Amino acid sequence: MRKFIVLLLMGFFLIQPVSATEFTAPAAPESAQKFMPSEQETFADGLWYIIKSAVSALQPGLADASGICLSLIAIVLLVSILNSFSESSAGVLRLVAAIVIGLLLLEPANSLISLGTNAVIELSEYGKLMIPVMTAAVAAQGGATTSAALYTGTIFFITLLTAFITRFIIPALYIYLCLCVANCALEQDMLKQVRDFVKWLMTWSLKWVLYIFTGYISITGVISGTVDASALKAAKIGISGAVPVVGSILSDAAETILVSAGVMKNAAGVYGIFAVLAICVVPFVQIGAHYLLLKLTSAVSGVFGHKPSAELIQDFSTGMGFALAMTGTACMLLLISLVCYMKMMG
Amino acid sequence: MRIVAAAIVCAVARGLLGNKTPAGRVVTLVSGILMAITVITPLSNITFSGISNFWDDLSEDASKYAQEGAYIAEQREKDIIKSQTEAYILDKANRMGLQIAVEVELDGHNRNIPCGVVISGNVSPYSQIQLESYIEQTLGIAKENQEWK
Repeated sequence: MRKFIVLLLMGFFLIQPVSATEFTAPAAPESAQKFMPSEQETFADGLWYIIKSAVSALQPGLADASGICLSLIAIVLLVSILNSFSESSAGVLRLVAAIVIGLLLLEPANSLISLGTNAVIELSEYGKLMIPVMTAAVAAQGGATTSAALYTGTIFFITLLTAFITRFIIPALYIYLCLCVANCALEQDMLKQVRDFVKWLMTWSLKWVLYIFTGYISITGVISGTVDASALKAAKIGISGAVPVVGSILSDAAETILVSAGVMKNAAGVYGIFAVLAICVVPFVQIGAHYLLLKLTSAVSGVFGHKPSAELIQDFSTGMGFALAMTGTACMLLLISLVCYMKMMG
Repeated sequence: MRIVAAAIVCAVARGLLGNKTPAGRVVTLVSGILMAITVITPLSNITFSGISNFWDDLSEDASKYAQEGAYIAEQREKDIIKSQTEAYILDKANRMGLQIAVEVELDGHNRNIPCGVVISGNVSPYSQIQLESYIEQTLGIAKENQEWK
C-alpha cells in the first residue's frame, strides 16, 4: 500500500506543468456573442448553431424587405400601365420612376452597406487580437519564421482591405448606386459607361486583394515552413546526441510542448473561426436575403415591360452583391489565415 | 462624389444639345476631357510612402509575438525537463530508501541539458557516493556539479 501511495505521488510529480492560459483566443465581440455556440459536440454542430441563430435573427428584417419589394413591383406595374397609355411622356415617367425607386431602395441599401462595413471593421479588430495569439502558438510549436511571416502578411492585408473597403469600396458603392439612378432617369451612355467602370473596378480590386493574399500565404507557407522544419530537425538531431536518459527527457519535453501547443493552437483556432463566422453571419444573411429578393423583384418587374425600372432594381441588387462581396472577402481572408495557422506544424 | 457630379453634368449637357449639332460635338469633346480629368486627379494624389514603414512595423510586431511564443514554450520545456530530472533522481533515492530534496539546474545555453544538482537530506556517505555515481552515469551531471547540503 505504501509503495502504491509513493508511486501515485511520483505519478503526480511527473504531470507536465503546461497550462492553457497563454494561447487562449480573445472573446468574440459582444454583438457576435449570442451567435457563438456555447456547447457543441462537433465542428459541424457549432456551424449549424450559428446558421440557425442567424436565420432566426433574419425574420423581422425579411418582412420589411418583402414589403419594399412588393411596393417596387406595384410601382413598376403602374409605370408600365401609364407608359402604355401615353408614350409621349415616357421621359418624365422614367425620371419619376427612377426617383421613386431610388428613394425606396437607397435607405435600406444604406443600412445594409453600414451593416457590412461594421462587420468588416469588427472582423479587422478581432483579427488584430486573434492573429498574435495564433502567431505565438505556432512559434511555440517551433514555427517562429512561418508564423512571423504569416502574421505580417495577414495583418497587412486585413489593414489594407479594411482601409480599402472603408475609403474606396463604400464611396464607390454609393457612387455606383447614384449613377444607376441617374442612368435610369437620364438614360445616357456616358453614365452607363462610368457606372460599368466603377462596377468593374470594385469587382477587380476585391478579387485581386484575395488572390494576392492567397498567393502570399501559399508562397510564405512553403518557404518559411522549410526553414522551420530544418531547424526542428537540427534540434532533434542535437537531442538524440545527448546522454540516453537526458536525451529521452529532452525529447519527451519537446514532444509534450509541441503537442500541447498544437492542442491549444487548434482550440484557439476553432474558437476564432466560430467568432469570425458569428461576426459576419448576420450581415451576410441579411444582405444575401435582400440581394436575392431584389433579383426576384427585378425578374418579376421585367415581365411588365418597363425596362429602365427593372434594370434599376437589378443594379441595386448588384450593389447588394458588392456589399456581400466586401463582407465575404474580409471574412474569407481571416478564415484562410486561421486555417493556415492551424495547419502549420501539424 | 466629384465623378458622379461631373458625369451627371456632362450627361445633362449632352442630353440638351444632342450629338449631331456642332455645339453638341464640342460638348461631347469637353465632357470627355472633363471626365478624364475628374477620374485621373484623385489617382495622382495617392502616395505609397507609408506602406514600407507599415510593413517594417508589422515585421517588428511579428518577431515580437513569435519570440513571446517561443519564450513561453522554452519556459514550459525548462519546467518539464527540471521536474522530470528531479523525479528521476527522487525515484532512485526512494528505491535506495533515502529521504532527500532535489533541485536541478539547467544549462540554458545548451538545449536546457541538466548541468548541476543541489541535494539536501541526511544521507550516509556510502549512499551519497552511490547516488552521485548514478546521477553522473545516467544524467551526465559531473560529481563536482553535485552539491550536497
